[in-house]
Amino acid sequence: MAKFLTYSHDDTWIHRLCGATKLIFFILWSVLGMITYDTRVLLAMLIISMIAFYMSKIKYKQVSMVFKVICLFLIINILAIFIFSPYEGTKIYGTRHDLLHLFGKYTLTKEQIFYECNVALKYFTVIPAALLFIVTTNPSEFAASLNRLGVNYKIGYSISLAFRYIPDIQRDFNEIKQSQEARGIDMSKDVSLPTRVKSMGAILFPLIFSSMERIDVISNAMELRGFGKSKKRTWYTARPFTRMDYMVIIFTVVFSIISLVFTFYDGSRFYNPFM
Amino acid sequence: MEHIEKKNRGLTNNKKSSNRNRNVTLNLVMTGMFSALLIVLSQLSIPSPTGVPITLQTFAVAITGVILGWKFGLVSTLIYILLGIAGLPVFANFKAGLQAIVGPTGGFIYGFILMVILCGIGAKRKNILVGILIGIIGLLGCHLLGINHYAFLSNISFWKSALLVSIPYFIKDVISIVLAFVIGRQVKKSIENYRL
Repeated sequence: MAKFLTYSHDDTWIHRLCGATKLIFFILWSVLGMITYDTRVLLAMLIISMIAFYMSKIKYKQVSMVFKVICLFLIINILAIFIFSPYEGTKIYGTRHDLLHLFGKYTLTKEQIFYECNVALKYFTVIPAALLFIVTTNPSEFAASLNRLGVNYKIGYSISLAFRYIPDIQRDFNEIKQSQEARGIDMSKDVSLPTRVKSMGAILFPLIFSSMERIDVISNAMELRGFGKSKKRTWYTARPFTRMDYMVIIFTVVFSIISLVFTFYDGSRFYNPFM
Repeated sequence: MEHIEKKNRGLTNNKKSSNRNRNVTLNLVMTGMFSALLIVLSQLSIPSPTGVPITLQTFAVAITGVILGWKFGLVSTLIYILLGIAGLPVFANFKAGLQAIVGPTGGFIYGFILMVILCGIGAKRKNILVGILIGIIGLLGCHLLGINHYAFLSNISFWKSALLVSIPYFIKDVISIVLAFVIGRQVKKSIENYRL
């Protein structure tokens, strides 16, 4: 299993941004991406996401697995929309321009293609932002930023622990899987399903035990350092807000407001080029 | 003498608060770690003869409830769901965002909340069969929420929805629950022995 959701230490201006800034950007960006169906807004968001992604110097191989799986499910989603609702676009835009009759009740319309392109655009505007946030934010800084936004530091720490130990659990899984395969446990498609389930059990058992051991070590270390004694705490990785942080926050808020005005000014969240 | 007694009383109180703090820290770490485990296990699948891969998402949610109990299992699952809603690709097949919840199969995701609670309650039972039964009731609740959600969104009947999104997967989900209880019990027993 390839690594995913893993922080990469780099020194770009995006990496240097405060965790709270990236969190604010990511949340607003995701919400905006979910709300709007205005193609112009989505295209602007896509361009900004791509520029930010390029500037962060994230290597494609770091996110390729996630990206490929998401693309696969996007294709399935788009096909499912067409199969279950072939005239969704016609319903939304109120016009019908037939392009190609396929079979039975299935006719390809300009409206349907446009609607499905918007669905794909929505995916591609939010995904780079999500991956950008994950790969450029230190888990401890993530906890600090949650705390800065008013989340109790214990809850913030719990979330950051979840974040931090994803790569470790993945590595454990791979190591256990390889060592069990070396001992002759078969997980290929050649063996029966009960055998495969049994084999998975032989991996899951040690994986859970190694996680429990890690829990013990971490909680002891935290206990020895007096974690949870005080109502508040300081953060080693917390960054102060810089001019760049304020600029990014202002840009995100202004862009969100303009986009929402753009989206809803005619009473619909869909941009209609067919009228 | 009185002075020493007071001092000892103070030490006992400190010990109590220290133990309480230790438990809080341990539960906090377990909650975070099991959220990570949920995220990783949700991306794993066993290829099956029917072509429908058996994802370990159901197993992961169930074992979280069994090992952590309903309260901390619930917190762990909520962290997992909230991270997904926020847009991080943590659900099965790297799905994410609010559309994963309001989308066709979103009912199963918020159905996990009911499932983890009942698995946690079931894990408290002495008799493993009773525990598994309670866990399966939780799974049934999760599936009912999933079926209703899909039926509502797709504008189809309850039974047609069940045939599409629930019945083909129900048996493998029951197997996941049974496995979670068997492995979870063993893990808990081993932890207790290790701590002793």
